[in-house]
Amino acid sequence: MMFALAAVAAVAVLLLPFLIRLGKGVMDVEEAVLPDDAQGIPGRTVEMVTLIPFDGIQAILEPEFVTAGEARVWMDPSEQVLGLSIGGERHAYPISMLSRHEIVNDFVGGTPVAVTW
Amino acid sequence: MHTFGVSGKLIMNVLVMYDHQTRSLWSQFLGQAVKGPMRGVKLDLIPVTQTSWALWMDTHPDTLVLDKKGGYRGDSYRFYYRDAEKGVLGESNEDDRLAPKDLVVGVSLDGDTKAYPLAPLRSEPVVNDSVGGHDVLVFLETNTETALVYDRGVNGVALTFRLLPGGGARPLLMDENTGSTWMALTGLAIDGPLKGAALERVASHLSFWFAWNDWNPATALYQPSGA
Repeated sequence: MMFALAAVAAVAVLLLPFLIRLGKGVMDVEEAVLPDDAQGIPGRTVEMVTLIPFDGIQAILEPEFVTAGEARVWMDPSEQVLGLSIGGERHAYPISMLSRHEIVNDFVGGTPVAVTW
Repeated sequence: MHTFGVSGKLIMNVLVMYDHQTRSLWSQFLGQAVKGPMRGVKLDLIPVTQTSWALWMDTHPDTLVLDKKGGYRGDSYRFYYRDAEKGVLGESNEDDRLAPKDLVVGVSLDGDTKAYPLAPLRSEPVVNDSVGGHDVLVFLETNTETALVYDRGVNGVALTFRLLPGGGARPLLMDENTGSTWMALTGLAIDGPLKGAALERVASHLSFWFAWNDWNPATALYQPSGA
């Protein structure tokens, strides 16, 4: 009897992380082997967890830009941005946009970039 | 060229992207494909500046701005930055040298990784250091918590920098080797023998400590002198 209880408790403990994840809406868990690093050290095997379907969050593919003068009207001076400067061209990405879209596909100074958050 | 979308997957709490051309899965943290036809391919990491709109506009008045089209003011994660949640999935590696949600500036160069906690940088905002055999300068603009990392090698010499008093919103540095004056936020020398020279940025990663050490379990941690 004691053994059975202990076993139930052990199973419950083992299942707990999984149950917590289910509660958080995990759809799937799979293994991913990280690539070896530049020094040839083998990559770790890690869990890749699916929370939402592909494109459940919409990345920006055709970003539109305005000048600093125009943006001044609606940007708060303390608002956080990611700033990028390549080849003399500069783009600012408000964090409020990045945190909702996660990825902006863009060109800056002729370089194709993915700006991610 | 590839374009990227959101896969809806996470590895150790960090975004996994996919490319529309091959549907390979890419780890945002590594900048590298982890599954699919592109597995192992690595994207170049380009330094960005995380700062306030006012400071970015002041240093780069010619900037363009991603149009918000009237939407969005706040950041949807604003509570997460302050609460005790360690991502969605909890942490993989527990390292109690710092609190999980302490912010660090992470640098990864030639296989060496080092984390500079924001807390000591707030009182000592200029750090002359080296990572992976590269001489680096770590600078924190304390009002906006803008962290910048530069390569402090100029013409084959590793310069040693210190903060000049009185720079205000445009902080100034002086190198002890030549006495030249540098703009801390742009890395440009504006006065002295090296006037016109520019420091090269090193890509860094402003990260929560728990995420940085999950991904880099062997990371070094910067200890301020005298601590």
